Formats: sequence, C-alpha cells, structure tokens
Amino acid sequence: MYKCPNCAGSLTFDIASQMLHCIYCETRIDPYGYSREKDAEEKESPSGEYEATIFTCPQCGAELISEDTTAATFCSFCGASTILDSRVSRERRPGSIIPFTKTKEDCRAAYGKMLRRAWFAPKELKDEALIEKFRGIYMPYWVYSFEKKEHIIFPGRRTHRKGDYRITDHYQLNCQIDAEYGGLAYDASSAFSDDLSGAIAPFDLKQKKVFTPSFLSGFYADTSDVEEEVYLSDAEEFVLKDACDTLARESVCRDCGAGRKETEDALKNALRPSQSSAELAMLPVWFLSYRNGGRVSYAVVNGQTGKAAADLPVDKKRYLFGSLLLAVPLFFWLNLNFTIIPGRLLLMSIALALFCVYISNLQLTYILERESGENDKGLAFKNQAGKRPLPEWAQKRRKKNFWQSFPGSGLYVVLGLLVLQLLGIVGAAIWEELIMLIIFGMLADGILGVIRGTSQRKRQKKKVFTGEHFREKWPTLIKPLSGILFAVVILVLNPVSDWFYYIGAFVCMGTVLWAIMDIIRQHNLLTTRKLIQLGRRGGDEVG
Amino acid sequence: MDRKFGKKKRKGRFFTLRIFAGLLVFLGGILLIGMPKCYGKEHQDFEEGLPNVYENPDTGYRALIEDQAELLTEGDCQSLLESMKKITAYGNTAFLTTNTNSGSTEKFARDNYRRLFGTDSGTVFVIDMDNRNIWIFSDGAVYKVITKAYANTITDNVYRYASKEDYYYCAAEAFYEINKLLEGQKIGRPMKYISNALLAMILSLLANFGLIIVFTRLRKPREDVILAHIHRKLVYSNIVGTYSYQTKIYDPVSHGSSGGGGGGGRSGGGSSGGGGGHSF
Repeated sequence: MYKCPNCAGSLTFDIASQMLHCIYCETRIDPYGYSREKDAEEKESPSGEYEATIFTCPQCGAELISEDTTAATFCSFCGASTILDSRVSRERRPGSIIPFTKTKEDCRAAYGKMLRRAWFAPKELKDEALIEKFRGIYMPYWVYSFEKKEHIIFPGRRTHRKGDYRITDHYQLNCQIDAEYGGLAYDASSAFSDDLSGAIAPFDLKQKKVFTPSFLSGFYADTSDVEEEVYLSDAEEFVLKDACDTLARESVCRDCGAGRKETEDALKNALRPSQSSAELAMLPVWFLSYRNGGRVSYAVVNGQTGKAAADLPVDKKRYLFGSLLLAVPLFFWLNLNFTIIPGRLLLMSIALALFCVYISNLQLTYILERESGENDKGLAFKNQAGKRPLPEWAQKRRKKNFWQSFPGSGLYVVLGLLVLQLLGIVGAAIWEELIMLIIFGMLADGILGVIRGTSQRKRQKKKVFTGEHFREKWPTLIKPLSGILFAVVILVLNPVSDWFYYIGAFVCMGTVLWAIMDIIRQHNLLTTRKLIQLGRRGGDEVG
Repeated sequence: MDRKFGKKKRKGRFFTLRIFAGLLVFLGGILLIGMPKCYGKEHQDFEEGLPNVYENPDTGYRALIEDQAELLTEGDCQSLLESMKKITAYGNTAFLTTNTNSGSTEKFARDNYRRLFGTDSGTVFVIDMDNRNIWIFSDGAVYKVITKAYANTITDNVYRYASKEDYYYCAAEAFYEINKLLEGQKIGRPMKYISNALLAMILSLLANFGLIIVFTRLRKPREDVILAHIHRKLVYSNIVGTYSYQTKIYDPVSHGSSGGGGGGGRSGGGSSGGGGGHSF
C-alpha cells in the first residue's frame, strides 16, 4: 500500500492527472517520484522481480495482484463472489506499462455504445449494478521487437509460355535492409482469452512508460503465466509478411518476380530478423465478468483507446420478436414479387436447410476449438503439463487432402449432375438451374466439410470429435439433414400431386426453423465460456 | 351356257362392288367416328362461322376450341365456348388439346398461339395428353394480367380435374379463373400465402442472425490498424536484380478445344409472352 507522505492516507493512481493522488489531503505525487523502500531495492535487484500481494480465487485458481484488500470480495475471471486467498509473493517485474487513460466513466460509455449495436442482447447486460462491477486490471502482455540490418540476397522468378514450353527466367536480387519493428503485443495471461485480447487490440505501445509498481496502486493486475516463446512465431510471421509485401511491391522486385507465391518463402527467409526480443508489459483493461448459468461471459474495454468488446448472447424472445417484425414486410414483398411453384419451393427449402447445416457446422467447430482451448495459444500452452513445447498442429499448415485433389473434386461434379437431374424433374429454366447449381455447389462444400471434418482433424493431430463434442455435433446437424433427405425423396419420386411437394417443403422448413434455434443456442454457447480452471494455486480441479 | 356364265359373271361383279361399297361405307364410318368431334367441325365451322368459333363483334377478339385429342363432347364444347366468350372482351382465347406432341407443352402452346392469333393479345389453355401436361400461354395486354405466376397458380388450381379425367371442368375452371383475373378480381392462392409466410419468417430469422454476426462477434483488428500502432521502420536501398539463368519445361498446351468465336451482332427481338403449367 502506498501511503501519503502528508497524511498517511492511501495513495491511488489518478487517471485524469496521471499522478498518485491522496483522496484525503488532495496531495498529488509523480509515480516515479514516489517509491517505497522495497520498490527501490527491487529496482536494483538482478532477479527482476518485485514483491506483490496476490489474491487467488479458491474456485478457478485465477490470480490477481492488488494492494487493495477489497479485491478479496469477488473474482474477476470466474465472477464468483468469494473470499479470495491472499499471500505475498515475488512476481516477474514487467519492463514497461501503459497507464490507464480511460476512466471508469469512459469505460461505461464505451460499453453502452457497444450495447446499442447489440439489438438482441438480454437487458440484464445493461443493468447498472452489473456495469458497476467493471474493474481496472493491468493485463500482462509480451511485447515483441525485431531487428534486421543486413545485406540480403533473395531469388526472383518470372515464367512465360512459348509454344509448348514454359520458360522461366531466374534472377538473383540483393539489397541492404534496415528494418525495425517494435510494440507487437500478445497477452501473457492464460486467463485472458486470445479472442478478447485480440478484439480490443491494438494498444499504442509508443505511449508506454517504464514500469514502476506505484502505477498499479488503486488497480489490479493479472499475473503472467505464458512464456515469451509462445507468441514469438506469430509476431515474427506478422513482421515477415509486412516486410515481404512491402519489398515485393518495389518495382525491381516486381519486374524480377520476387516475393510472389513461389518465391515468397525464400524472401521471407532472407528477411527473417537477426535479432528479436520480448519485454513483459502491463497494459490497461477494464474487465467485467458475469455468470450465465454454469458458465461465464466477459466484457472488456481497452483502458488506453476505449475500444470495447464483449461476449454478447442473444435473448431468444427479443430475437424472435425482431424477426417477426422483419418478416411482415418481407411477406408482403414476397407476395408482390414471387409465386413459387411447389417444386421450386421444395428446392428452396432444401437450399435453406443446407445453409443451416453449413452455419451450424461452422459454429460447432468453433465451439469445439474454443472448449478444448486449442484456438487460444496461451491457454493451450498452460494446459500442456510441465509447459512442453507447442504441439505440432499449432505450427503446421494444413495439407491438401483428398477432397481438394482431383478425384475429390470429381465428387462435386457428380453431386452437381445429380442436382441438375433433380432440377430437370421440376422443370426449371436453364439459368435458374445454373444459379441453383452454384448455390448447391457452395452449400454442398459445407456438407462435405462436415463429413470429412473428423479425418481432417485427426490428420492435423487436433482433438477429434469424441465424447461430448461428438454428441454435440451430430444431433444438431441431423435435424436439417433429415429435412433435406425427406425433400429429396419427394423430388426423386416426382409425384403429380402438389400436396406431396408442399408437405415436403413444410417439413423441410420446419427442420430449418428448428436448426435456426439450434444455431442461436450455439451462438449463446460461444458467447459464454467454461469456468476457467487455471490450475494455479487454488482452483476446484486442483488436488 | 355362255349367257348363264355371263349372268353369273355380272352377278359376281355386282357382289364384289357391293362388298367394296360396304367396305368403303364401313371405313368411312370408322373414319367419321375417329375424327375429332370439335376439331372436325372446327374447320367447317371456322369457315361457316358456326358455334366452335366465336368472334366478339365489339372487340374483334375470337374464342375458339380445337379438341384434337377428343376430350370434350359436343355439348361440352358449346358450354365451354360460352364461358370463353367473356374473355373476348379483353383478348383472344383458345382451348387446345393434343395427343400427339413430340415437343414440350410450352412450345406447343406458344406455336399454336402464334398460328391462331399471331402477336395479338390473348391466352390459350392447352391440355397435352402426350406429355400429360396442362399449360396456359398468354401474350400482349392479357399477359400483363395472366402473368407466368398467375398461369402457374391457375394450372396448380385445376390440374387435379385433369388427373381425374374431368377435362371439361378442368378447362372451364381455368377459363373461369382467367376471366376472374381479367375482370380485376382475385383468385384463391392459399398455399402461396402459407409458403411465403414460412419463407419470410425463415429469411428474417437468418437475416437477423447475420446482423448478430456482423455487429457482435469478436473480431481481431486488420493488419494495417496494427501496423499503425507499432514502431515500424523498413528501409531498403540499392536493390539490384541480376539475371541468372533460364529453364525450359516441355508442357504442351491441350488442343482439345479451340477458342470461341467473336460475339455476334444484336439478335432480333425475341418472342414475348409466357405462361406456366402443371403435370397431371
């Protein structure tokens, strides 16, 4: 705790003045001008650590650094109202910090502005009591810097055709490079998910300051538990892509075909940084968590830029009411412009069902990736027992598989011919057949994606659809698929009576409506998260 | 003996003639019975102005029936023609049937429309027994009312009578609905409203889901936004490209198809009109 030198009251960091402020005697002190005795000692310490009071949530194991004892009332990560365990510990000392520049009022305004776009969000999210729970937390980030000052040599290649020959001219290019990139930030906390940190990025690292613990006074800070190597390859790839694109646009490179698809890797290798460094920095985030059943959702606001992001679920009642309102003018418009014959109506319902299968499959895949933690590198790293190197799939590129190869593509053609056959039965015009064929082709890709999904993931050594995930995926997809099957049977049988077509179309549309409700449920699942189990000291699943 | 023989010979000739005449009468009778009831008369009547063709003295539009497939009785023809007369206030009208149509019903309807009415305004209703299809084709001012959508609706409403072989009622109902529309009244389209309501609901649900995805999903910033917020210095100088060598790979071009010819000139005005139909 930082005491006021005048009245011994508590000093907190004041955002407006960017000074330490005593609320009792209005004393203002420069954060660098005031340091406790131990701060000065720590600064000189070669171990690069500083002493901090750490609060650990007994439910999820999340840790928060704070000088404020009121932190002990609830956990910001799992939303549990509980007495947090506290201990004094030595933590890795960050190299820099961006102090909060957005106040809680700014944060509330940014959050409110974001909610105005979320028409179907539940009204509980606008509750003042909930918004009051926003906490200013300094999140640990790894800030990467790269440098390359060298003479580089790289190849170029231009190909043209002459008769029956493909002629390739090979070039060698060289130039002097002076490149510096700094300030690429990736969150270093496994409790802070990559999608949330990405959504409020970027921070302006040009405004960073040298870290001193007094900046944390009055705020909270998360501890870093992700090593710097985890995001190094991502940051390096980002830098290489930019450098490569910039150089490839240069006229000499363009003329010699350097940096094109076939020579891009060689150019990237030539540009690979000779020096890289990572610095731990504390970046400001306004953080809010709210429980949703047995799961938790987050809202975050960038404490420097005011950019807001949140897990925004859909209130089904609002969604249905909003859709009903939109359906009324749409109904009149359809009546004025379209008279759909029964055969065409059946085809349309099949197309809608295919679309739902496609969307549903995408969402289920996101859920699978999110729940297993594989799309969050920090969490994946944390989940690796003993902090082993990243799994192979995390670094591997997707390989071309059977479906992308020639015989695989042939199956699409067969499918297309089948569709043409069906369209012939219902007597569609040629241009209508073509349009429908394109739509069906695109949607069939989604269906085949579902079928081939499991083996593809197995090949990539990713978690396959087993256990809970398998049970989650198929019962959802089977609904629209059964509607499609029913409708296709009617199309193939080609009965004379319209009633068969209408019944088929209405059954298929019924499964579409069911599937849309499933899609909303999946969306709500994506806007809530499993209660984190960080396996730090504390946490339900530990021990 | 010779006279006797001569008598017998004359008797034989007379007998042969009687047989021959009988056969002719028999064949003629069959032919007469086999001839289309309305169609056969139509040609006569068309010339003589008898009941299978009607011409509206005020508008000059005609109503006619060509029942090549012999689906109607004489009484049916007269009755149907009576109901078709009202349509001549707005345009020409015809009821055509066929049992020998090698092409599509749509083509048959269009070709016969052109044959009977040219490019005049009107509508024809066709029952094609060969393809087991019914079709309505309209053109001119009538087509503005009896659109493709309405033609489909009317044929959807009447195809069941054709399935039950009640061709007269099928045609009468079709012309009744055509006339109703031409008079500015509405015809029943319950399934259209039900299916459009369902479609509207599904499309609005999907559209709103699209809005949810666009406005509320978490997204990473674009690369240029990140680049604007980091320290970036990229200076390159003295770029020199030197030609090294050339490689040749034999890769024959497929000669399976030649390039397409140049685009042709403007095509002539296509035929207007259109319609819709239904199998039965």
